[in-house]
Amino acid sequence: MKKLGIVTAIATVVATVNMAHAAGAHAQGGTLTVPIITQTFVEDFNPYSGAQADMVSGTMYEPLYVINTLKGDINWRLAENYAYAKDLMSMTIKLKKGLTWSDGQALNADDLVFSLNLGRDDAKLDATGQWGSKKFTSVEKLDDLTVKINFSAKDGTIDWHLPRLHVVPEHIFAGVDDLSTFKNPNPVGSGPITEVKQVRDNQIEICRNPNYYKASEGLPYLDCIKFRQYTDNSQIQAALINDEIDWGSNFISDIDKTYVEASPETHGYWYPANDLINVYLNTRELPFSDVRFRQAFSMAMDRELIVDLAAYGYPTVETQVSGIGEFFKTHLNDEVNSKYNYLAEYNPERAMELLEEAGFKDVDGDGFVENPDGSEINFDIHVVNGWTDWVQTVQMVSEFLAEVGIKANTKTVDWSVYDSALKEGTYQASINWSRTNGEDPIQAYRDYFYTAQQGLSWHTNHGISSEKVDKLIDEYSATVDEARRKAILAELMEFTSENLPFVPLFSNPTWYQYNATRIGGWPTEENDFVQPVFYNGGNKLLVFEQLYAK
Amino acid sequence: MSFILRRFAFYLVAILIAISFNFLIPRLMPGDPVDALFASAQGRMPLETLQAYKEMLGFVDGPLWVQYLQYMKSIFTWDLGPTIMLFPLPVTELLAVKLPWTLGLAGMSTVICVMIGLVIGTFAAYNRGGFTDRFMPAFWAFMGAMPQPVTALFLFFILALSWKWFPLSYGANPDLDPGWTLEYVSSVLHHAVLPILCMIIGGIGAWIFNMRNAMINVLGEDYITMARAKGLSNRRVMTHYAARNALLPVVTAVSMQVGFVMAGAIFIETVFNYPGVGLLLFKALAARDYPTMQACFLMIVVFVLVFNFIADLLNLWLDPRLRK
Repeated sequence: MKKLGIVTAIATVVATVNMAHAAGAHAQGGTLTVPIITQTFVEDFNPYSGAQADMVSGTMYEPLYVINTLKGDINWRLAENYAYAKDLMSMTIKLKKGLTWSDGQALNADDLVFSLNLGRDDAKLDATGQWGSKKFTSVEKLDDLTVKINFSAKDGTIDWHLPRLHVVPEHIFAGVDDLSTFKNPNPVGSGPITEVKQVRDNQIEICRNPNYYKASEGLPYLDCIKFRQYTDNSQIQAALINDEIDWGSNFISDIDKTYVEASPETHGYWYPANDLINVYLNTRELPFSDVRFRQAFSMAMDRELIVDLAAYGYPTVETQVSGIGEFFKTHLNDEVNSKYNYLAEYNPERAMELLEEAGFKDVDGDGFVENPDGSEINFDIHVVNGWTDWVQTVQMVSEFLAEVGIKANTKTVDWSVYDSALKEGTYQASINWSRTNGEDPIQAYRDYFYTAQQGLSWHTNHGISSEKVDKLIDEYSATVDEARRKAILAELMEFTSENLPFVPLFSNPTWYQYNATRIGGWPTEENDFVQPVFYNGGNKLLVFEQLYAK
Repeated sequence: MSFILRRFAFYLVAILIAISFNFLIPRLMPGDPVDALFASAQGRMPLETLQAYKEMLGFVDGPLWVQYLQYMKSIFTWDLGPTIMLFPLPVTELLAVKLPWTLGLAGMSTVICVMIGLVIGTFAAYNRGGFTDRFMPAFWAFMGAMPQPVTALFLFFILALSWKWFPLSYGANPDLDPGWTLEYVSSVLHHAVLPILCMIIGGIGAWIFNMRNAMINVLGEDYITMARAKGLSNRRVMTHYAARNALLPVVTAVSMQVGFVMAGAIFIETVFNYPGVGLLLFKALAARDYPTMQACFLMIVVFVLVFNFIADLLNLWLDPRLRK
């Protein structure tokens, strides 16, 4: 009798332990607290209204899939797979089987067709931008789980835009008159966190989805997300230090001393490279019209010193001039780079030699060179008032230029002036971002050179473009042949390095701080499973999925 | 009676003129709100969507005078439109969230400032040359001369961040439901201590001087000598005869001060993440959020003029000489 009792007891214990393992690697429970910068919270959970999109994208409304650029793979969420037709004039998307919304109703092709068609008649609801750019012509339902999208022209790049689609429930959104002002109270979502617990001016708490499709895996580990309102970056820094919030996505000055030292075991950060920061030059006017001047500009920069002094060493120094940065390092072309890398090296002597060769000489003896026609060189580099690390960067740039004899000034301007000067091409020189942190490097070159973008984008109006480049960019979207795409990229990189319409400085860091006092599972340099970008719904979802309460 | 009516008419005209300026001045700034909105979205909004927003927000159309008439109509029908920063939240709702906190902060700090300042000022004037008179006005003037952000940051760093005696942010604990419960009200008071302390440190010097100078003027009057000659106690002379008369200019100053404080205390609100109107106005300026800006300016103008009017009425009531 006694033996039987012991055996039963052991069997029960073993069974319980096995059950715990099957449920997931971590116990469930705990709350994540994250900051949101806004004046006040409102009861608005509509991903299409944009007011509180960061709260609902990814964690309340899952995307079809997430393109993980860091790992170079795709994390399938609502979609099981997609496939282009052979002629690239359409694609089919297949949803996973058995998906449900948080109210128990089935999530199927009807919802996907509905969500895709929202953008057809109303540009404000065009999350992917493909109706507005006239790429989509129609959407058809093939069966309960499969949807087909028809294109207006051959295009193999639509899969980059689909992750931005918000798949919303047809049975809730279909009856609404004006979706862009619909508040979506009592939201019904597909993600891990859908039930709104409370809405206050300074805090919104959203909790676990009772019908989550990944619940059988024990996901998500955390129960709730608390969104806390802040009006300024500086308040977030204090809250992080005092362990009031867990995840920060803003610049923190002198982070080692102010944040990490306060609690080295639990306070950490990781700043992987994000987009490339360039100084754009207006090549339509002297002195920038001479490529040798632009090359000299580039060689006069000590990028390491700029990064260390102006930006605390947080950004990543760029060592090549082909137009993309560390973010796309798997696409860098060694052949092109080995030819042009010297332009990114700090070489003031060579810069001065180049200036002389090109006819830029100091004729009036003031220590600064003049144009070959004798006119003075004295240009402004635009930067926005208040962006202190960039203002310091530009100041250092002008100091380095002075060392090789070029006279430049730091011109701090209001955002609207900066914005219109870049778009209209009325600047002389201006520091700005670049489209080098998307899904594919071709987007960077399209943003730099595609003639139709001039006036719409900040990065296109430097004065250099060519029909040949336009054709190459169009060809890239019309093919899915890896080898041809690689060859096109190589040509574009060569074009960029040869013409140098901008001077690359460094790659912006992804601002990411984590607080491991209550929560574990954070991505770090050692555990780099995804780029930790909070405002990208897909990345946010992937990070959240790994977090658990300690 | 006619005095009151004349004053009322004067203030009405003043409000109308101020409103017109409110409309014009933001429009003279370069840049337009949708580009500012696009900037804050950091390019996450597709360009086509941006165009659609421009059309929807609509005030890029129409000549200036059409927009002006539209604006005047919207003020009188109290339809101040949606904000741009938090589209489509109506401006009136956003202001309704922030206004009570600013009123509370401004009201409480002005009242405390004035009370303490008046008492100290009275003492200092009556005992001229004594310790209070030599130390207090100068010390508080020095403290008031420190820039508000410096005082705020000092208090924030020492009392909130390092010693953790007071909270870092918010008007009340975000984990509590707003309501007239003891828990919530005590949380509100706990969160208000540091902001009010900042405002008091910055403002009290002026009130001490105000009262002290008014008192010194009054103390030279004959009726004070008369009261003393009658044999009244020092305290009675000080409060019933001197202070009562010295209060007249102070009352005017207080009324106007409350009006101005409604503009909010930007630095305090930034440092302590206090939900007030000051920081809202600043952010609205940066975002070129015309509807919010206009509503804030309107509110400030109305408050200042209303309190000016109240000051006039109070003076009329307190000072019999004006009624003649």
